[in-house]
Formats: sequence, structure tokens, C-alpha cells
Amino acid sequence: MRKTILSGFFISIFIFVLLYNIYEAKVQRDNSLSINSSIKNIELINKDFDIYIKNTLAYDNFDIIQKKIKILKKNLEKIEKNNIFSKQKSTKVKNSLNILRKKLNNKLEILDRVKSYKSILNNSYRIIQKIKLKEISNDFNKIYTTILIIDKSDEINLESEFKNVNKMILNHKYNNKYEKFFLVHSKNILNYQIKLRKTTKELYDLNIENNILIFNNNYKEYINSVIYKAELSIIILLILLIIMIIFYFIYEYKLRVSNQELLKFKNAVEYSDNIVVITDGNENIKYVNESFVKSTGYTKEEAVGKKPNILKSKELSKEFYKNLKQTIYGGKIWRGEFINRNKFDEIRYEKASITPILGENGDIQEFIAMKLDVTKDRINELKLIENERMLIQQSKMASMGEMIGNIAHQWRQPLSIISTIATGIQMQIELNMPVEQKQQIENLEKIEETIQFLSQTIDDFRDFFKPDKEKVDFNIKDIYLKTLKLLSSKLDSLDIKLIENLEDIQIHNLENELMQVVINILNNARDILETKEEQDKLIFVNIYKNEEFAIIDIIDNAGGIPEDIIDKIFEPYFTTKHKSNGTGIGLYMSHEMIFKHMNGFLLVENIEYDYNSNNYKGAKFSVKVPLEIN
Amino acid sequence: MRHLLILVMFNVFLFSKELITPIPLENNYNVKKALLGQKLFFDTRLSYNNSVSCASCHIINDGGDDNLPVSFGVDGKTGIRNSPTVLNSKYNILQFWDGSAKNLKEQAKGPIHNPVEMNSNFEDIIIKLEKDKDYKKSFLAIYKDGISADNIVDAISEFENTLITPNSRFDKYLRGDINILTKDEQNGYKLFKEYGCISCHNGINIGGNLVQKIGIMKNFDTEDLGRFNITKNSSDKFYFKVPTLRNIDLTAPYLHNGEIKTLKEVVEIMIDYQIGYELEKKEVDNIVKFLKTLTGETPKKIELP
Repeated sequence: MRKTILSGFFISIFIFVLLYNIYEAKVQRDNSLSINSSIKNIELINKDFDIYIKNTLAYDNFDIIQKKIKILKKNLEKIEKNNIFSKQKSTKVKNSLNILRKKLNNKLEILDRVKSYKSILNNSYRIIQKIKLKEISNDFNKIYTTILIIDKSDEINLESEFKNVNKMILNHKYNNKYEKFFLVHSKNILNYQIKLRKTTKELYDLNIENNILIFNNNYKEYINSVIYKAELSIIILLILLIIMIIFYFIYEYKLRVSNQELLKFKNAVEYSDNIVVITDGNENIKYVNESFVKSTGYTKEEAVGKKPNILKSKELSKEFYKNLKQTIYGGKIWRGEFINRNKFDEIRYEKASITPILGENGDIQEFIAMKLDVTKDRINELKLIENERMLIQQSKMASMGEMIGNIAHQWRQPLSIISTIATGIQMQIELNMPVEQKQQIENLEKIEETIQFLSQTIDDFRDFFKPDKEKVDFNIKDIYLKTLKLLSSKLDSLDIKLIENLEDIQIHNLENELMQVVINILNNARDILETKEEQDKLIFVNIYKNEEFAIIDIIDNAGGIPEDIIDKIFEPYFTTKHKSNGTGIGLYMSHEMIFKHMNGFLLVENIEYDYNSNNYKGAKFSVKVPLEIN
Repeated sequence: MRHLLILVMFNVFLFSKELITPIPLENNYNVKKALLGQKLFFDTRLSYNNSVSCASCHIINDGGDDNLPVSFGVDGKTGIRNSPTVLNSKYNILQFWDGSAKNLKEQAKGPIHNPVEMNSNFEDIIIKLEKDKDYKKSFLAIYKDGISADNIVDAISEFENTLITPNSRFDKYLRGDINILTKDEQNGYKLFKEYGCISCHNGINIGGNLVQKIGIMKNFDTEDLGRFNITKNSSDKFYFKVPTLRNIDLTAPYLHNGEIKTLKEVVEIMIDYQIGYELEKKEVDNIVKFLKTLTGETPKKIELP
């Protein structure tokens, strides 16, 4: 907008300068016309004067001469007053004009003299003609002729004629008064002709025509240069104007295009899924888009002018807002997540960035907040977390069932030992069999030992059910052995043979979760081996490490996992077992725990291998846990 | 050859334009200015002791001069020159006997400062006029800057522009009323032309447009060197402005020093000294008779339109 006004302003100035130049050129042209006519007039009057001066023998009305002098002076004044001479610096023209004026004044002085000479000459010529009609001596004929042709003949030596007449005046014997008058007037004529001739020569030397010519030429030269300059500047200005207009149109076009672009952006902003809020430097809302209205429930009219803290909930700490303000007032972009409250008191999660817009002098002029309503995502996440928790719980419960089975299994033998001892003792008492004290103590020790075992078993299970709170240092081998202890009775009962190759490896991780994973894998192996009745039941357990990971390989010889489901076994609720036995979450949870909680990998593949000269096929589960203690 | 030349000259003479033109009947001037000028013209406050006004030496209803050889200025002082008529002075191309003023405005400054005329100056005059409320009002009505030297002479010259004497019998003759002049008078005009008086006395004012030497054919005995006093140019010695012949009958005595009392005498002197010839008595009489026809009407009173 400002640029438009500015360019409009410049174009108007250009047009103004252009018009001024055209006007100036016109003035110059008019001036030159007026000066030309003045020069012409001066030239003509000058010629008139020359004719007048040459023409001795005529009466003149001096008023007419005076009028011509007036016109001459007026024309001269007109030239001098012309603004060309007040403005310009062409000293050449001025100088030639000054010379011309001086010479013209000189000529007018001469003209005054000529006027008086001519009236005197006129009189004498007239008188002498009158006398010639009277009776006078023929000696005067020659003088008379000479006098009459003086005007037409420059060769007559006036000085010698004057001397002659003077002599005659002295020597002539006068017959009458007319002869005297004749000679006196002849002398007078010669005298004034001499004066006139001198004056004429002066005039000739003045050579005013030449000065008029010089002035005229100088002036024309000057005016041509001025007009040339004016024309040139007009052409240049015109070109500049055209260029400016072209630029202006280009600018306008670009402006329009960029306006369209801006409009696109505006629409993009307006209808974006992102919430956009623009405030001024004092946090008063200037603009909100559609998404804002949808998300917050406030209409644009309601929002504009208010501060964004209308959305503030009590979910976030004072420190959170303090940090936010420090960041944005420090001129930096703030990124974070709001928990806000909309018009209907619903909690909204908003992933946001707030950008301060700085003015030219570094002041904060605006804040632009871009927010994405992530409430749904957050709620989903919470649900997922809840689900996961439930799954873990489920799996734990499942494990617990399993464990209780295990405990029962584990406890069966000790309990039967205790029962056997108790029954033995009972029988001895009923049968009144002698009770050897040594035997009794042995029995009691055995019971005590067995109870210790039971207690230990319970402790082990209880430990297993304790949820991991934090990562601890432990030895994988120990964990494996501990796990095995929980499961050994069942494995033994199924005649499953364990082939172990165990290294001592210290790691820092979640102990119970790893135990649970190992239990799950071993249980799965056991379950599948349970179905294979007529073969050796083998489980290979290798604990070792490479550069990065501690690895537990658990390999069975149950023939492997069918290829069509091997990709799905880590998916939740996927199970091959009968519903009563499998929940379908054991391996899923194991994978989740290794991958997400322990930063490790749980991999599975089918392998074929030789053992004791027999060839076996089976599934190989690899638990990879990072070695690095983080 | 000789006759041919004479014929040429004769033709030139015949076909030359009318050398004397009548005073126009219409005269345009600024009435307010002229009235103010008139008041000033008659105001003795223009002289240092409030004794002399312009009108003291230029009696408008009696030829525009004072009929004295030389005028009396303040304290009865006298100069060396005859006061020329103020009538028709607007038609002179030069003012004063020596032609030292180019126009009436310049001329008006002369007598004001001349010690033997008004012996005053504009500073004093303006102080005196400023005291006069009427003057102040009239000046301000015409001139933005009120009373000033330039405005005083401007008003006076505007009044002098009104002082024309049209409708002399000769003017009427020039306008075609040939019989208004007697035969003698007509003959006088013819002689006036023939003897070349007209070569110096021509134009609308029958003079006033040329500076000429007094004593062309004979030395004229006078101590006044005329224009030489102004120009200091030796060729200007004894050069004076050729005076107007209008109202000549009313403006005796004659010549620059006013030493010639009658018209007849001055005509004779002119023929003797300037023309260098001898005229018959009757011819002189006719010329004098002709000159008397140049008396025009006294200037009209200025009237508000």
C-alpha cells in the first residue's frame, strides 16, 4: 500500500517535471519568437534611420523619428526584460546585447546631431535654390552644381571646396545681396556636409547591422542549445516515465500475484487442521482460524481482543507458563504441549509452537501460535497404556496360573515327603513301633528342610510377581537358573532334557521382566514338547554375548513353528493353543517388554541342527539385551 | 541635370508627409491623479518658504508662462532663462531649454530643487504634505505607498498631461477647414514652410522635438552656452531645445533669455540668425499672422466622469 502511494507519488512528480519542462520549452519558444520579432523591428528601424540619414534633402517630422526611437527602445527593453536574460548564464548573448545597446544609444545621439545638421542643410539648400532664381553671377554655377551633387558623390573633396568658397567670400565683388547670401549658404552647406560626412563615417564605423547579426547569431545559438536541452530532457523524462509506468505495472502484477499467493496461504491457514492464533505484542488475540473455533468452541468474535489465557487449565504448573513466557519474550520459538480447557470445560491437548514476530527495532510485535489438537491421540495413548497395563496384568495372571501349577508341582514332592514322614510317624505311633530318637530328629530335620524348600519356592514366586520398578544390576545366568528353579519340576516331570551352555554375564536392566520372558519362552517350549510324546525332548539354552548384546538362545527340537504363522507369533491375542490354555499375549508381552522396556530384541527362527548324531528341527528364540549399563 | 535635381527635390518636398499635425481632440488621462496633480501644481508648499507654486511661473490661462523675461523664484530670486510654457508640454520630447529632462516627471524635479526657483526638497515637502489629511487620503487612494517623491511628480505630470490647447484655428485648417485662415495667414504658413522654419519647428508641437544651435548663419550674442552646460561637449555650445510655437502669441517675451519682446522681432531675428536671409516686410507680417493662428483653446477644467 505504502509502495503504491510512493510510486504514485513519484510518477506524479515525473509527470509534473515533464509538464514543467514542456511548459519551459514552450516559454523558451515564445520568448525566442518575441525576441526574434524585436530583433527584426530593431533591424528595420535601424535601416530606416540609415535611409533617413542618407536622404539629406527632405523635410522631416521629427515626431515620426521620435516614435521610431520609442519603438526601438521598447523593443530593446523587451529583449532585455525577457526572462531568458534574467535567468540564463550565457554571457556571450548578454555581452553582445550590451554592445548592441551601447551602439544603438550611440547612434541615437548621432541621430540627434544629424537632425539638427539636416534641418540646417535643408534651409540652406532651399534658400540657395531661391537665390539661384535671382540674378547672380555665373561664377557660382560650379559651386551650385557641386553642392547639389554632394549627396550623390562621395568623391567631392568638401574641405577644398569649403576653402574655395571661403576665398570667394573674401575676394568676390558682390553685385547684390543675393550673391552674398548665396556664398554664405554655400559655405554653410559645405560646412555642415563636412560635419554630416564625419557623422556618417562614425555611423558606418558603428556597423550596427553587424552587431545585430552577432547578437542574433549568439542568441539563436543559445536558444537552440536551450531548446535542444529541453527536448533532450523531455525525451529522457518521457523514457523514464514509460519505464516507471512499466515498472509500476510489473509491480502491480507481482503484487496481485503475491496477493493471490497470500490469499492461498491465508486460506491454508484459515482452514488448516492446525489451530492458528495471532496476538499482538500484548498477547491480545488478533486472529484465530477455523480450527481454533472448532477446537475451543469460542467464535472468532469472542476470541479476538481477549488473551489466550482464557484457555488456561489448571493442569499445568506455574513453572510451565513461566518457562513459556521467558522463551517467547526472549525472542525465541517455544515448543511444547498445552493442556487447555475449552469453552465447554473439556480438556484439550495441544501440541504447540509459539513464534514471536520481531519488528525492525527488535520489539515484539506479534506472536503466532500454531497448535495441533492432539487430544484424541493423547486419549488413545492413555487407553493404550491402560491396555498394556491390563495385558501385562493378564499375562501375569496367566503366568500366575501357570505358576500356581508349577508351585503345585513343585510342592507335590516336598508335601509328599512331609506327608510320608508324617504318615510314617503316625504309623509308628499307631503300631507302637519303637521310635528311635535319631530317626525322629532326622525326620524332623527332613520336614524342616522340606518346609524351607517350600518357603524358598514361595519366596521365589513372590519375587517374580513383584513388578519391576527400576533397572538393577544382575547376572543373566543367575536369573536363568532362578527361573529354571521355578519351572524345573514340571520340566522334569515331562522328561525334558535341558542342554545348557551358560556364561556369566552382568547387565543392568529389568530383572523380573527378563525372568518373565524366559519363563514364557521355556513354557512355550515345554508346552510344544509336551505334545511330542515319542521323541527325545530337548531344550538347548545358550547364554553368551557379542559386542553389544547379552544373548539368551532357547532352542527346542519340537519341529519348528509353521512358516505361515511364524510372522504373527508376536502379535497380541495370537495363539496356537487351545483357548483354555493360551491367552495369546505371552509372546506379545515378551516382545513388548524386551523391545520397549529393555531396548533389546526378541527374535525367532526355525533351525535345523545335529545333536548326538541325530538331526533335529526346532524353533530358536533369541533374547538380546544390551550389554551397556545405562 | 540641374533641373532634374531640382525636380527631385521639389517632388520630395511635395510628397513629404504633413509636417505639422493637429492636437488631438480627445485626451485620456487619470482624472484622480490629474486632480491631485492640479492641487499640487497650485500648492506653494512645494517651495521651501511656501511662497511659490508651479502655477506662480506657469499661468495656465495665459499661455502657460508668466510673460516675464525671467521668473521670480523664492525670495524674489531670478534665474537666467525664460520660463517656457507648460501648455502642450506633454508633446515635447525634451524639457527645459537645454533639453536636460527627458519627460515631465524629470522636469518637475528641477524647479523644486532649483535654489532660485522653489529651493526645496522632497523630504521637506513630504513632511509638509503628510500634515494635510486631504493629501494623505488622496495619495493613498491612488498610490499604495502614499506620499512619495515619485508619486508627487507622477501626479503633477499627469495634471500637465491635461494641459493641451486643441482647436487652434491652424489645427482646424489642418483638419480641412481651409477658409478659417485668411489669405495672409495661409501665405504666412506657406512662407513658414518655404523658408525652412518648418525644418526645426515641426511635429505636433511645432517644435519641442529638436535641439538646435542658436545663431547658425550669424553668431548669436549670448552668455548662455545651452546644452553644453549639460553635456560639456564643445559641439553642443549654443544648442537649445527648439521651443513650441503653439500659443506663441501668448508667451512673450521670447527666446531662452526672454530678451525679445515682440513676435515680429523674434521672427526677424530667427530669419536673420537661423535662416540667413532677408524677407520683405509683408512676408514677415504674414508669418507673424500665421503664428497667431496657433493659439488654441485654454485647457479644459478637469471634470470627474
